[in-house]
Amino acid sequence: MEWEGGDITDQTCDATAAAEVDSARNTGTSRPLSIRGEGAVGTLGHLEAAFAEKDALLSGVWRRAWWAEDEGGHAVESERRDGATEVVPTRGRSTDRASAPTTTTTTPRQHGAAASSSDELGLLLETFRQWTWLPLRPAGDSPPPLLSTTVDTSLLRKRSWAGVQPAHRAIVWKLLLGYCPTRADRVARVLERQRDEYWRSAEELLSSAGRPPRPPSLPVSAEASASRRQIDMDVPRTSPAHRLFHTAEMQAAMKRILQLWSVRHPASGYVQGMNDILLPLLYVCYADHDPSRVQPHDQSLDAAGATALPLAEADAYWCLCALLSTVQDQYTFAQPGIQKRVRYLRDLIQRVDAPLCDHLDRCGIDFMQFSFRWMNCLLVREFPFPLVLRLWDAYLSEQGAFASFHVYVCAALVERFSATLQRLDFQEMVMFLQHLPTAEWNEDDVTMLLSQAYLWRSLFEGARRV
Amino acid sequence: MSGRLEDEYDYLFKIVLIGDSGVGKSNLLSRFTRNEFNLESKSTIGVEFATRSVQTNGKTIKAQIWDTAGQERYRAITSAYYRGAVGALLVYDIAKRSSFENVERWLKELRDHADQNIVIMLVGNKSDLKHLRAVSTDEGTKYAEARHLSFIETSALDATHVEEAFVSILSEIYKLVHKRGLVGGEAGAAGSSKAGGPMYRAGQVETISVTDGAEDGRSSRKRCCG
Ligand SMILES: Nc1nc2c(ncn2[C@@H]2O[C@H](COP(=O)(O)OP(=O)(O)O)[C@@H](O)[C@H]2O)c(=O)[nH]1
Ligand SMILES: [Mg+2]
Repeated sequence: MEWEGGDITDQTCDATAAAEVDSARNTGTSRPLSIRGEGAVGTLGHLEAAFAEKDALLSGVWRRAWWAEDEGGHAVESERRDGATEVVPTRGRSTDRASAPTTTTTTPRQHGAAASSSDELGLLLETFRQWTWLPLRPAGDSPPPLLSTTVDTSLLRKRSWAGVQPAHRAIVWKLLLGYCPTRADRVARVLERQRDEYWRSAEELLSSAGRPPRPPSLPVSAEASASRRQIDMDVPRTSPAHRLFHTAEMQAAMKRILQLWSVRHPASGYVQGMNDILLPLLYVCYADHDPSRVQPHDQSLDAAGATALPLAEADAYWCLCALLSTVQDQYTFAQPGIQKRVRYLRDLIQRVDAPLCDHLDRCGIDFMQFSFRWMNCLLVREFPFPLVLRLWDAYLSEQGAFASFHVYVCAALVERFSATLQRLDFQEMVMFLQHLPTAEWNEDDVTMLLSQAYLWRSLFEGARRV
Repeated sequence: MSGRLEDEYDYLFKIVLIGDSGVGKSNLLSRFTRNEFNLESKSTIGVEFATRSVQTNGKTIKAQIWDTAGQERYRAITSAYYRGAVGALLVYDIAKRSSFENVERWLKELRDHADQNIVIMLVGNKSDLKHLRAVSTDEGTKYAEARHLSFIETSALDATHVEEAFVSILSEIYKLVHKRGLVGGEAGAAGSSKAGGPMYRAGQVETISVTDGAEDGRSSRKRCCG
């Protein structure tokens, strides 16, 4: 079977042009990479010295033992590792798709037991994670040794498909979004540069607020000031149930991130709903300083949180850039990416559930009426927050999933309620689809959705590629 | 999804809520349909939808209300939702001058995308913000008069005139339609139309002229909504 409308990941001319404009702007404002030294162990001294100078961030509180005991010898030769141990229930459908991340991989392992493989990846991730928080390390406290090691992203992707534990979520997302380098010896250096760049730009942006800006870097057009007003209006309206985002610190962070993104991407600028998309990213980046304690319902930031936030804010900005760059055609004029994906969603439902599609047609339902928000906000508004994180774990397990695989997930979501929908009339259906009964959902529901979407994708998209 | 009783109505009218982002459209809708107000409500993405039935002129009229997002970027998509709408509440925020100044643009939007006979009511919302008022009642009234729109000031927060606003636009539509005898037998047609269940179809509406109805309705209408 084949799609009628071409490749779902096709960029429209508009979006490509937009991306070019934006990337030209971004490279124009970023600084050249400053390399402080090569070789894993050799960089340590440089980094120590460099961070000792960074008084702003070093002055923070260091209350927890960030560094796990060093057991030594964790130079992981991950390229030799092939055995994935992920087992995701697929309701007995996954018979002939050996490469599917949903299937139980039985490939013989070259060395070590399954547990050891995943433990080693876990340890490596923990080491990476700690290096991302290096600026908060108290003077004299020694970070874990950095060996010349690379994270195996294909293994990571398989992991991520099955869901990432909260303690590793931030580092996994940063790695898979391409924000954090996969080479251990580059982690601290690259992140430091990116965070510096973020704060330099954010300060420039904020200091130019309300008066004519320096010409080449930050033009303020009518659109830009409209975006700014819209951001100021939307940030306080973001996910009211999650008090953490309504603390003064978080509100300010969200405004800075969205304003900077908006100014740096003039081809689309801020579009309502981007505040929703920022939430999972900001939350995950922030919670990583203390994953077992931070909750979206927290009423305030404690001292450690306040210290961690400036780093998390910069990280979230870069993660947002990476994510939105894969769906930029959803936010340019007339939102062609959304229109296209909504059409694909309808095609897909027609293929997999013709009776439902007929019913929707007969009732006069336009897919745009309910799935626009699913596309525009990437389902953030449709599920309980922890399940959004779980869903995005899976999205991050492949490149471009927010643009293409996402549509299959949306189809699985409609299909899930097929029986109910077919009993409803027009009005009931619109109401139902705009307020899906997902409040009581758990991870299994998301897993089932993912499996269904995976199956359909392999049927419809896979066939086309042959 | 039970309420079959609720589906017993004489007429069904599709109404759209338009106006700048943040003027209180979603809260007017939730106040009218669920008697709820939210100081921190999520921004509307795309369009949202709610219904409520009211009694007026001895008839049960079901209002099918589409709430739209205010941001410019969405207009290319939301304009499709004007199709089949027989009424529009054009909302501004009395405490925010720019939202009043944009009313003109929203009227143009309606001229371009909606049926030319759509009944429009101008709504100055947030009337509770007396100390922050940036648009006087007089100014709103004069503007509406000049453009032959009904006008009302509301507060979704304290519920002032919210009911009146919706009921009066519905009854205005009813009167216009009834006068022409156009909606007989239309009840129950919701959901059978491709345009998304509006009550009467554009072809029928064409024969209704809002200006024709002016001589008997205009002034009293304004008073009743005042
Ligand atoms: N004081 C006051 N605030 C209101 C009123 N209506 C809405 N708001 C507030 O204005 C903000 C935007 O409201 P919302 O309904 O989301 O506006 P929309 O973007 O037009 O849908 C929210 O914080 C509301 O609580 C009102 O009548 N009075
Ligand atoms: Mg709204």
